[in-house]
Amino acid sequence: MVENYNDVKTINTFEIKERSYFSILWGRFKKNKMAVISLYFIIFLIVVAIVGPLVSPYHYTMMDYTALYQTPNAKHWMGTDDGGRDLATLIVYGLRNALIVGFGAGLVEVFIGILIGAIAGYLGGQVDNILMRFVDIMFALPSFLLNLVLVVVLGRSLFTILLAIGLTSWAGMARLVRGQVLTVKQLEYIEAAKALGASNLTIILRYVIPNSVGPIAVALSFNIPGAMMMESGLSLIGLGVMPPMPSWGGLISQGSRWMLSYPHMILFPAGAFALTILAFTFFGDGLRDAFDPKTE
Amino acid sequence: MAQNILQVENVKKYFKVGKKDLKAVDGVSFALEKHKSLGIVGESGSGKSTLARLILGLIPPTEGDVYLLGKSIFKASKNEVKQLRREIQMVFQNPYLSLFPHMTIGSNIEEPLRLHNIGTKKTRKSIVLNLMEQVGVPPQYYNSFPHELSGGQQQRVAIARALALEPQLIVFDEPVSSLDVSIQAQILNLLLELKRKTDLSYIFIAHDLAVVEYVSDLIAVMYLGVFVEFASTEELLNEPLHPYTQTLLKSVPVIGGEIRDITISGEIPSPINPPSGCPFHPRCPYKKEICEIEKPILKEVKPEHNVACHLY
Ligand SMILES: Nc1ncnc2c1ncn2[C@@H]1O[C@H](COP(=O)(O)OP(=O)(O)O)[C@@H](O)[C@H]1O
Ligand SMILES: [Mg+2]
Repeated sequence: MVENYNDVKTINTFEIKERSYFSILWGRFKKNKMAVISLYFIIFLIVVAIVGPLVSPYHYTMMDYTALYQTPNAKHWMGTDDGGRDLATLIVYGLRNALIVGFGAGLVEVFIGILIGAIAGYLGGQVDNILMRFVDIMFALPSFLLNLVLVVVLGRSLFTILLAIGLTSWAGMARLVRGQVLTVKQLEYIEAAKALGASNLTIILRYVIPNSVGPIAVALSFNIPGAMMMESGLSLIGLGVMPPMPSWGGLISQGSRWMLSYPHMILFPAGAFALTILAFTFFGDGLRDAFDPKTE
Repeated sequence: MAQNILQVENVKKYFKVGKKDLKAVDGVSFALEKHKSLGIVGESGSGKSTLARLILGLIPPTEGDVYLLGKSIFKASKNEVKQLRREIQMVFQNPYLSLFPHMTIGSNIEEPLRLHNIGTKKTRKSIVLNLMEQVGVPPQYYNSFPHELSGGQQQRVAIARALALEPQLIVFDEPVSSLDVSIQAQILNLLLELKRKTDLSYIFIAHDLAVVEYVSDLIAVMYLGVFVEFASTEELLNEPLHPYTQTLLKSVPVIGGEIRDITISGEIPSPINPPSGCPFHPRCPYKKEICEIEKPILKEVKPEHNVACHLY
């Protein structure tokens, strides 16, 4: 046994590099090429959503009756729509709204899901029974209809829409979190940590969270595109954000009306929508690999 | 009197199951001297792990107390408990489940040092590499993850982690039950070597007497939450007094031979509905009337030999 902590013989015969938890995650993540490309693409989308509206010479309210239905050209990179509005600008605003709704609804969902799931998992017993029954009901209700009702009640602003989507989609997250809490709670390494002298707070921060955040992050990265699709669905039937504020669902439904004569009007918004959804899904795949220690 | 490193005083642990009490540990007392090794043997469900948790202070007792180096682990302040944690450690049955899955082998072994703010990053690394050498884990595994190692290697890592704080006592809860027989012997030899080279005391728990006798100075036989016999290893093997110990010894596989006749009849009763009187009476071939009525207490019938049985 080591006799004295200050008097340790040095046996660093070869250099052993430390690996941080983040570098380990990144190492596993980057093995999935599609996920890495998707991550860069998502970062690109976020930058475009922030910078685009600032640098665009157009605005989504700017009609130009001298430039209707233009196909892509130097002045309008993606052409114009039936009101002569710059399609690229509309798509960038639609992107911004989709990201706000996606991340915002995701945040609401994670917050409620963690709250309900963690309480149910930790307390167990009757509280768990009641909360989980409630979750079952939320799960069984058709979420699109529920969303419609909520949007009608709350109004059609960006914020109320993301709130409605978040409020109707947390049931799966609550189940997941509860399962995580139940699993981690009885794992032997939690007991081992206690035996080593770790405080409750340390146990939660150093062992419980790193080992349960993975599935939550993965679920979230799949639910963000889910929220975006829900928002588009609402827009498609005319219950999305109030016009003239553009949304991808609205642009796609509008484009579909002119699809045959002016295909660019549907190709660009639908393409942007599809690529974004795909990117989040591939990113989620990569995250799942990253959090799975067996990926190495 | 040599100082007892551990003193267990009439500890009980009852779990609530519905409205009933499950008496997992039902009054255990013993003392362990420095540099001694105690083996605890008993069938699955006899309360060995629960007793281990009580000794470590991981769960509060229903009754009784545990003194480590003369200090009650249940009455100590938060700070004192943290200090006591440096003196007693535990190694669990399933090494894969007890190592931190998201940390490398190096970080796993370093973790107790970090938690107790021992050394700098650099000295900790040297300590970790020393520990790895000591338990026979090649340094190349420093950056590996627990799941990348074999069960035997994982258990060596768990032992290194338990040794990191230089505890005076380690409780091994069935540390080899999940390992191949060939690996079991290696781990047992590692324990013996540690005991020879250092002044470590340990408690070794197993359901198999053959494993326990190999590494223990003293042996306690546990049945339904109590010690039914407690003696030096030699005494217990040469002259088992309790009928349960006798049946256990008969069923010990002789190395290289075949398993001898097992005369024990019936199943171990449930600790929710324990038998009245002596917990072993329904299976005991020498049952007397008193055995159904009065619970025998553990008493010293010979030097270094205690038994809880109405026959003595
Ligand atoms: N947390 C718990 N809640 C309820 N019952 C428990 C708990 N832990 C152990 N038990 C019960 O206590 C008894 C003893 O268990 P344990 O100490 O694990 O035995 P062993 O380690 O000897 O197999 C068993 O009947 C077990 O089901
Ligand atoms: Mg056990």
